[in-house]
Amino acid sequence: MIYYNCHTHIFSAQYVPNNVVGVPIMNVLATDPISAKLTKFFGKVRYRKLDTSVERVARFAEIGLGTRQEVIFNYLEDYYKGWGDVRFVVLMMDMEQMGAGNPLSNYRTQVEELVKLRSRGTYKDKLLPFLFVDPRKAEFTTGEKLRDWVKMHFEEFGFVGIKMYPALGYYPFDEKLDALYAWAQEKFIPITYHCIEGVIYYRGDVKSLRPPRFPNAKHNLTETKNERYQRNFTEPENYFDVLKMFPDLKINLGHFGGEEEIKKNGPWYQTVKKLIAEHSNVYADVSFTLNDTGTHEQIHRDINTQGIGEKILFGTDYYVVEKNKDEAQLRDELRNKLNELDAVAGVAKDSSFNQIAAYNPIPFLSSAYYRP
Amino acid sequence: MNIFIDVAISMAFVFLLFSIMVSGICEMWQMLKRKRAHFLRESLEDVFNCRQNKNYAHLLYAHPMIDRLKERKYTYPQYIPSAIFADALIDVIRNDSKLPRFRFDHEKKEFVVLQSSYAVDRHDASGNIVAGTGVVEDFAAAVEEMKESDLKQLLRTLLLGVTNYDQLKSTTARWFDDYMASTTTWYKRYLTRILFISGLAVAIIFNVDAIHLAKSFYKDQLLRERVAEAAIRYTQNESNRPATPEEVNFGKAPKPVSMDSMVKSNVDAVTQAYKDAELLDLPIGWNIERVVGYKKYPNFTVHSRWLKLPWFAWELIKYILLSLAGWLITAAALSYGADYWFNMLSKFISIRTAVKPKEEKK
Repeated sequence: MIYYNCHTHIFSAQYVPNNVVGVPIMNVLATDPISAKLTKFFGKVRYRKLDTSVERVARFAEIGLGTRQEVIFNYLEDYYKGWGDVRFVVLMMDMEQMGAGNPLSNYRTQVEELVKLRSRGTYKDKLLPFLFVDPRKAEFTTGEKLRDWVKMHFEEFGFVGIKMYPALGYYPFDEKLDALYAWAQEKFIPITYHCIEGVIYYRGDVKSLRPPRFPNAKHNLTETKNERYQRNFTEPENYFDVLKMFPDLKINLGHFGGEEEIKKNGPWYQTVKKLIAEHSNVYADVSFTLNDTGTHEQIHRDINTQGIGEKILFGTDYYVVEKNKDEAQLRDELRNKLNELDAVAGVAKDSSFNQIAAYNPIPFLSSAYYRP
Repeated sequence: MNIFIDVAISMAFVFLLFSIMVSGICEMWQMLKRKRAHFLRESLEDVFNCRQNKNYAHLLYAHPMIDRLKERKYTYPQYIPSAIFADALIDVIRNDSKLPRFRFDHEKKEFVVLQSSYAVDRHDASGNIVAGTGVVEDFAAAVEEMKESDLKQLLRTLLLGVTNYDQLKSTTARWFDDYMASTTTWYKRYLTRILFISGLAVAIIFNVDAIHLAKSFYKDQLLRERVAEAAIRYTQNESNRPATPEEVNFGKAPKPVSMDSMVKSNVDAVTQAYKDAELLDLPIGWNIERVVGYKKYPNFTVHSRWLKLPWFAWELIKYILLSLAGWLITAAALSYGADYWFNMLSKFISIRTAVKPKEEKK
């Protein structure tokens, strides 16, 4: 059996602008040996919750500030030793357009570093890269240019999917994405979107943003605070408009709307489930949200709900989630809980976990360019 | 004449003691923060992080030839030999445009890597690798494929008149040596700034005001003679000579120093300097009476002083301005380092020894 972790990151902090929350702290922790040593020391002094949090931040910084993507990927591989054949969907990130300044190294460096890394050893089949797309990039003067650029990466460099992060300042139904969507729909290419409210969002002037092509009642365009305005970009309702134009587009709404949404059965979570139920190619992954054990029972119910369960994917959001919980711990906690609930339901051990980690990813990742 | 020499000796001695403290603190800070390695990386980022193309500095540091020079996983190398730099740069650039191609084999369900990321050496008619040939052509082709930028121009310049690998390597190594000489100069300037800032911090923390010190030494004969005698005794003991700091040079490997021994010796030196300064009962340190001129006006009580607010404000402003000037002079003096002040002190003592017999004869 082949397991798939459908949501991981291995880009290092040098690809993140310094103005993004946490990056300056991470940089200090990693480049300043005194701070790094102090953090590790306090991390080891496990005393109440605070010190564990310090340890987690130290671990997050330790991984994220690895100078090479290979080092970060090796940490991830180590977590799955003894698991047999495990493959990782590696989602790239381009934060150059988010209005937080330039990262130390540009996106092109990140892509080429990853492509070269993948040609080494067994990485070519273990590491399944999703190309990050931002329609605002200067070179994408037309939607066709954007599509051709993506197409070239699939045909030449073996990319298997597309990653988008609307919270960085664009709507998923941006006109420049139409040509790309038409092509992706034709080739069954999976697209993973970020679908949770978080700390990484557009930092520029929100007033200067164009109003969306398809405004919906959930948008609050008068909002002036960037932190809140990100909801307009991330709003799951946006995907109804995308899917109206491209009904067979294969999409994955990463993070399932967020752990708080899942726990309180919030509107984003309900919308994501509605999208999944109404469209044959809409998926959602449980990455990051799974670090909150309060979501596990609901996830189990969803996995065992006809029409929803076949489209839930296992993902962890490595290494972003490291600041909350250890990769192995959160993975095992979810697996154990699903097994416990499977036993109560009288089904075979690992049937729920295998469904999201081994079976559901197959149709999701299958395209004209890749077949698991 | 003797008064001025004794004042000079006393001042030099105070600067020497606090320079030992400042130099020790700076050296520990540099070592613990791995400043040299970060400065080297930053100076290479300035040239090789090309926004129009890629961050070649990152690719260089990820190259095994340079990556293996670092001591630990999360550090950078402190020194890069020019020959290694040249080999790594040529390899990174010549392979820049040779990204591997991938094709998915639907039958085997696996990816096939169609082209290695490494440039292939040329072969002669018999199939033997012709050492060195082809590299320059690959390098030139990769440079031509780059978008126009300062870096492209620099790399193009390295290729001028170059026909083989050895020439390209020596030209690149020569450029790197020259660039490291400049980096050394920048780092020295940076260290001087750091010494000045640390000196200013020490001057403020211990209230080492050069103007006040000079005045006190000039006015107080007992103090002056006590400090001068202590300075003479101090210099007579050769073991007190501060170790000459290692000359910073990015073109040479730094001497291996164990972190523990370095920290211990610096902490010892700083502690000893502080004790020596304390024993001399120097007119330094914070004293509120000095601020409001208590000694100047002994009949004033604190209560009556507050009533004379304008006078107090003027005294305070005068004190702050004079102290600021004094601290700045101290900071500037401390930035010269302990070695400098030890030599100056020895010279002043020689002058004193030469002048004294003449005065005694008179």
